[in-house]
Amino acid sequence: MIRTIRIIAGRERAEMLRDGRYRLCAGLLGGLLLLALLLGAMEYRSVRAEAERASEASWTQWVEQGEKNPHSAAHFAVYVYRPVSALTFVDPGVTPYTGVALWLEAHTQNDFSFRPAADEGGGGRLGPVAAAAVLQLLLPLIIVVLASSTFAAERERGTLRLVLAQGVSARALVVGKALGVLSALLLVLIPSVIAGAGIIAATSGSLAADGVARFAALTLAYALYSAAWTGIALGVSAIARSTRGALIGAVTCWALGTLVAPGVATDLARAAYPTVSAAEFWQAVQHDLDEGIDGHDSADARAQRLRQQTMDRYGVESLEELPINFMGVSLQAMEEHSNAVFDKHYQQLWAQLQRQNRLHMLAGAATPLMAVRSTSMGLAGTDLAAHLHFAKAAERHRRSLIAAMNTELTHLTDPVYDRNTRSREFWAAQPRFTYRAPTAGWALSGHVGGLLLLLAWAVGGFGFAVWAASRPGFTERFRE
Amino acid sequence: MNAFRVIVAHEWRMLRSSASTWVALGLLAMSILFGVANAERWAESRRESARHASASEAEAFSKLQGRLGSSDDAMPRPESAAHVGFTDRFAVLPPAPLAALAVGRSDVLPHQMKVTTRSLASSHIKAGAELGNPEAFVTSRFDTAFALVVVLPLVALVLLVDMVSIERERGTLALLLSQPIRPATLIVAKAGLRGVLVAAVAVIATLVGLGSVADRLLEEPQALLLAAFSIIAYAIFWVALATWVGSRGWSTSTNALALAGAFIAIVIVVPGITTSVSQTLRPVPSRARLVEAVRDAETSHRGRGESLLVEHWSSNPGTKPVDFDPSKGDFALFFTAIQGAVQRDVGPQLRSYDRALEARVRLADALAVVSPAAMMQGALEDLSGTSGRRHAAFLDQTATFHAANYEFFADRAFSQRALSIADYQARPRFAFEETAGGSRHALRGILVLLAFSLAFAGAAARGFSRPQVR
Repeated sequence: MIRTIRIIAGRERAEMLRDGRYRLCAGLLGGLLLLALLLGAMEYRSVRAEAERASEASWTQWVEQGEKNPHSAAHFAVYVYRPVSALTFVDPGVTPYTGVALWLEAHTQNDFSFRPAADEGGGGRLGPVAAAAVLQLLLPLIIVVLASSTFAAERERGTLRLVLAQGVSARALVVGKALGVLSALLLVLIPSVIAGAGIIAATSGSLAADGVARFAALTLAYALYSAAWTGIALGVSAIARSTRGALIGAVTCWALGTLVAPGVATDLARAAYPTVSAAEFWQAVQHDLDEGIDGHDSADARAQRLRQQTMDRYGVESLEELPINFMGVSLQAMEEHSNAVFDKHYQQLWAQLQRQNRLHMLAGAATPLMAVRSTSMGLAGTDLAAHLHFAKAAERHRRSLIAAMNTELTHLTDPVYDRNTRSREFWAAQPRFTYRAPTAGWALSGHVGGLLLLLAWAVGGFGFAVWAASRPGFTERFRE
Repeated sequence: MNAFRVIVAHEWRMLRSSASTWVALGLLAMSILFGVANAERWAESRRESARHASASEAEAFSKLQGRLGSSDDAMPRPESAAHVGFTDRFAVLPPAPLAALAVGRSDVLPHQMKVTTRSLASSHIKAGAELGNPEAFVTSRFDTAFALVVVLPLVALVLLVDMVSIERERGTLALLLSQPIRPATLIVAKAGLRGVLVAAVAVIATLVGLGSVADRLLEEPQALLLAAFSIIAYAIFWVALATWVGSRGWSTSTNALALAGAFIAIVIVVPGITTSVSQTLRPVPSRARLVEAVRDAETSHRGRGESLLVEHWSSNPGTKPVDFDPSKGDFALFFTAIQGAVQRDVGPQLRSYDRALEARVRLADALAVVSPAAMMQGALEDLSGTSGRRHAAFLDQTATFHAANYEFFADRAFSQRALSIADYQARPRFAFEETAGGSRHALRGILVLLAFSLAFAGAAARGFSRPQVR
């Protein structure tokens, strides 16, 4: 059987390479993919350089902010800039839609500022070109166009019956033809794979091994995706009454699966798990800050309690008698309360977003594009989970920095605010924010489900094609 | 004319007896209605958000006004213009009457800006779009525009792909052309009927959908008409393209391949490339540099509150309060003066960002003429009020409101004039003024689509004038 499969695959590949349509499609696909990778790599280098420059500038501004009260410094604070994943050039994922700058100021857990998509200028969601979009949209179209006429054309020519009369099983026929189609496409994709690996090696420095591991997993994901569409196209070709019917049917499957269904699934997920508006979110936060998380512990009451507790602890009758600066204590207590409030509201928001994303992944059972989209973003480190990983790390640093400022303030006991100051040495001594991005293993562990779903699609696609090719009447020519 | 009617009647009988016709047209209608519902849901969430912002601002000022004259010394002090100037005001870009036509860029661009006496750059830094799921943004919103720009051409191509080639492959084309009818009559009848079906379903579904959700629809009859004509022009374009492909004499399979390729190129690839080109040729300065400029300005003016006040009074004689020692000014007063200085320093840089973005939008608009899909998307965004252009007007008006708000509170703060109820009533309020131009752009889109259609129709006519049967 293996020999038979090899012969069929070789023949299919040879026929395809001779086909002018293949050369046109292959040229288009290969050219667009290389262009997208190149543009993506240039964009990645530029964005990374800017993020590094901006982070350095922000730290310099923090250190050189001059002599001031630590609480004023807590308001000035630092900005951190979201690092760009090394595989953004393959799949930018959520990068255009999440802000790039985060202000780690006191009293507030800000959202990120400045979404790159807001500066795109036009084209809406119709651009720009990214390698992931080419692989997720264009590649399956080319597969269905090239593979959908495979059985139908042989049936119309009368050669299908001859092949099966040689004792070739339906399974061997399907596998052989699928391998033929995929190997022909591989010739086009190999340069892009090499280019991609080269870009990672050139741009990732010490993280090259991690980048290569992610790239390998991405390659596997897209290989399974391609196999799924090949199976679907062959199945449609086996069922259709004519090459025309096969092509129209396959292209319709492509349109529904890559253009219509994902949009429907995403909007249904939004409707099923709606998020509050920004105005409602901040209003709810402010309410809890003022009235307490349970709504029955107002800021005044908390302040009153804190004053009493602090005076009791030091055995004094008034705040003026305290050996510490009460303002530092009060500000830190306020900070801890606000941290709890922000934890409550952000976690509610993020949990809702994650419910939406689980629905997106479930929609991967209806269309392979949703499975590969989530998996691709995850493996490239450009999904929501990767963004939240950074956001949480930044927030931990913010809390630690502000706590350090408040602690320092308790030791500064001059009654005049502006005389309680620190300067450059103190600011420079604070720990600088460093971020360690999650590893390829972390990304892979979160997307095993997606890879299994793609495997199921590949197996299912082939199963569909084998079933279609095993039906009675598979070789009969139809009259229209 | 008789022959035309006979052909149309025959084509209609053929099409209506085919299940795929009804499936395709039904899919188009359902897509549009689903899209309208989605876009309206988003527009309603924006309106709700705007109501929240407005209520929140009104409540804050009402509370402050209610404390006027009381002995309560809690912060912020209601009679202090410097204190009250920090209260959040909101500049809101309201959804337009035809917002259910397209979500456009309204979900990535902030439609509310918080305005205080802090610098305008601070408003930009704090401005956020909605707290939506960024992963959902990766997939195109299934709004009305998506249904029209993406699904309509697919449906049209399914109906038109084998319009002539099926006759050729069945051998009936020779028979038809042997009748005393002009090839043009035959083609116009076939293509025209299909085009009318697609356009009619699209226009009717859009109008029915909009009519069921938009209660301010009739405020914009011109926009509604332009939307209908845009849909018709877009449908005509795809019909003309498919007819030209049909005139090449290729097989149905090759037609399908060519049309699929054309769809991908026009709807996905070319808009993507034009966006990349506009971004490359019209770079926008790094937003990080704006942040750095604001922080540098705040650092350079720190501690200068008193001297800034003195500068203000010497530039504006008669505004210095009598018997007021500037060294006794409070933090809020000094901060207000410092923010004015920061605004003066950073304002030009912020304007340069706006100008750079406008230049990018203009280039993207100009390049859109090479892609009918981008033209159609742009026209729908203009008509629905969700375009980058309308948002740029919103930012301009926000800047004007910011300046008026700052002047209102700063003048009173610097002259130490206590706020009264009359001041609270008289404070500037933001109301977005619609700008002209949306209709003009939509009209331009229609004309470009018709020009493309004419070109393809002409090419098709030349193609069909050659022998069709070999």
